[in-house]
Amino acid sequence: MTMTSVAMSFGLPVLSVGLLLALYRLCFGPSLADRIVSFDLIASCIIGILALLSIVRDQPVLLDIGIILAILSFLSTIGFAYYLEQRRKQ
Amino acid sequence: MSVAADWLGIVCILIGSLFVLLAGIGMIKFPDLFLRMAAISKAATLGIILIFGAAAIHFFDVIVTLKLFLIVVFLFITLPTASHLIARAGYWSGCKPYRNMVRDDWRGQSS
Repeated sequence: MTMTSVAMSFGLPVLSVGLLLALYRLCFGPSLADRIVSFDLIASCIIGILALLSIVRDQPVLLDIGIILAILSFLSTIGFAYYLEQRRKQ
Repeated sequence: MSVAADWLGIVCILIGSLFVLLAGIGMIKFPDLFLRMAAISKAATLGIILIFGAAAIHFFDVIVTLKLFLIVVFLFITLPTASHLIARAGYWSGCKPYRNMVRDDWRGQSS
């Protein structure tokens, strides 16, 4: 039992289930803010999946995509929050 | 790689992915925007950081470890900030908590 087999047979399915639960809230969220929160969780799940894939495939290049995705999800979350506050003021 | 480091990485992967799964279950089960936000801003952050620790153990390289440390620091700074911004925007856009608040400093104010 090595780290690669654990990452492939346990980590990736569990993170995929977390991604599906976040997708449920993205589809049926009652308000727009819930959808933004679930989008944040989806970005976190994809960053974790990328880290596990870099362990499985033994390629550290995939971690760079994780860095870019973290920055993009933070910027989009701030943009959505700003949009919510500005929409209410009008 | 020694056996002890391998087992440490395995435990990091197990606990980290279970924490991310707990964040997903909290997204489904919690009744309220603010509770959901608390679930993802703590559990998902800890899970992601544990998975990155496992990646640092696996590669065991100075450059990769510096890169992982950079992204961990970035996530530690940005994920709570983003959750705070969403909670603030959700409060002002009319999301109510499922019970009455004990203390509400913004009651009666208009943004």
